[in-house]
Amino acid sequence: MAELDRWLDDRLRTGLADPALSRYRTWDDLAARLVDAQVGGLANRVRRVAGVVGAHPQWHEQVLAELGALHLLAHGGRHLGALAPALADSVATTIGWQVRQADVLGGVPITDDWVVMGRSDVREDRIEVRRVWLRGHTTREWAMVLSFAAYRQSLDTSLRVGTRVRADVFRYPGAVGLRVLLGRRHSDAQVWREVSGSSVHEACDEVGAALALEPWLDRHPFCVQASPARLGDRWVLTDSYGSLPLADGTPGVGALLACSEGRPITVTAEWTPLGVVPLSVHLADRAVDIGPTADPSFVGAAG
Amino acid sequence: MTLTSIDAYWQQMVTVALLGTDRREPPSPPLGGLADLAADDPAPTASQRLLQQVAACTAVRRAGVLPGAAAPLVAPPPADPRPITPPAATATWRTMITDWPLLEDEWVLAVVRNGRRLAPELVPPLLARHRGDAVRHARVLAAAGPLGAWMIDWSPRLACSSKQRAVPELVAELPELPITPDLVALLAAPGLQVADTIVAGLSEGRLLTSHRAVLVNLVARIQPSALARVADALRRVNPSLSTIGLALALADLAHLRHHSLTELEPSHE
Repeated sequence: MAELDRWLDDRLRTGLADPALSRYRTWDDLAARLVDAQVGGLANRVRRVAGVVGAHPQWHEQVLAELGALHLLAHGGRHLGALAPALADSVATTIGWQVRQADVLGGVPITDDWVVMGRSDVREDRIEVRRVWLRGHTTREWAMVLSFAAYRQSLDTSLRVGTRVRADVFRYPGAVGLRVLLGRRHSDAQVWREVSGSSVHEACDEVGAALALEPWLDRHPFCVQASPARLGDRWVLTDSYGSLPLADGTPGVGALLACSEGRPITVTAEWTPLGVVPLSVHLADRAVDIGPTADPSFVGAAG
Repeated sequence: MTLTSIDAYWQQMVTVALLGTDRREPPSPPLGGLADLAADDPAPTASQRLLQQVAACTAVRRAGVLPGAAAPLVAPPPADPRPITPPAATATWRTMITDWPLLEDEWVLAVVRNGRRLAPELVPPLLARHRGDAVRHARVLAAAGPLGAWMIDWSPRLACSSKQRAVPELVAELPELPITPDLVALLAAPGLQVADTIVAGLSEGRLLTSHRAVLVNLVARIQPSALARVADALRRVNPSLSTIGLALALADLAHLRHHSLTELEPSHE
């Protein structure tokens, strides 16, 4: 942790324009040392930041913010005992200090009718990661189920966007605690259409509250009633009072626009530091899954 | 401390971070929480001061996510009164383009002939998929209705990239597939005759795996009313036959074609 902070410090001392930063080895050596130190979560973050260098004209700004988030985690990791328990848990799990599944499953479950709101697949290093976002029908709380697939392995396809299942979920510890393990399912999945979205302002409040608790979160879900629209050279999700920019190059924009046909629709999306990524559109007669999809040549039979 | 002052401060820090603190001193934080942090937990070096402020500022800016100005809504496309393809047809299309893409031409034509339009979510992928083929792209536009042209207005990369002109007759017709003369008569034959001929050919060794391409073309073009019987007969072929794999593949093709056409019929909802 101290070594990571020294490395971050060196980056700011020599400057982000230092050519060393554009060499993957600069980052990979650090990531390897973090893996050796059993902090795989930090290693993954470092590798993700490496991919941002030179990726777009504003990369310096994004990299700087990520270095800031890494510093927060490194600092928090060195002072875990001084943090509030929930925050300490958040730091520990984000850093990659593994929580045993058995310990999570030993907690108190939240039983609810969980609506499958959205799905996104992201390649992280040599693993495809699927995030499925659930929202409790009664609790209105968000929950994230993760599944992983290495080359030619399959991702979990048991949770389909637009369905609802009564189940127990067990939260990982943390201040926001989005990640869950799915426990016993009390019913088969049923098609579910009654999804309501908030306003753009309410979505910002929801996301902001979570980020105030865990500023290193790199995504948080929300569901809004809004329209895709152009603002300058960017696509945004807008309602009458405000807008949120979509992430550049996000694959679901075409489907989002087509499904809306220019009208307000209910959309589940992920906030990310680079902009909003639309995941699903909830229409009167169907839910349309428009989230980023795993490369079928990498995973086997991804649903 | 306002968000405006934080944004200005952030930009100053980006500039210093680009150059490095060896060359330039970090800016002073604006009055408020960031200045309090710097005073309460003073960092000994310029780079450490910058790192501390970058981290704190990142947290503040992210937690303070605010909506931008409302954007004007885009004008919707002209209304299209045709019913859209049912949700199940979207899944069928995805299976089709993976397993039996040669069925797609007929499927798009069936959408139009059944008085339907493509479900909106299918319009971008279908336009993108066929942008290099003028005839198929025109067929998709016919199935998409006004939404197709509207999408191209907003996303010009969905426009047809082919210099070829789409002849209306070709757009409205199903393209022919090569079929050997001895099997041509089956194109208009009833299901029982088609099923018996193919099953007998496979069982007696007259139709082999090497005939796969022509048999696939045949099943893709026989009368739709024959498909259910053909699929059923091929599924029940003797499993010890060396051509059982071919029989099951043809059964799958016949079933998918039957299913895809049936679910587009106006009565099927």
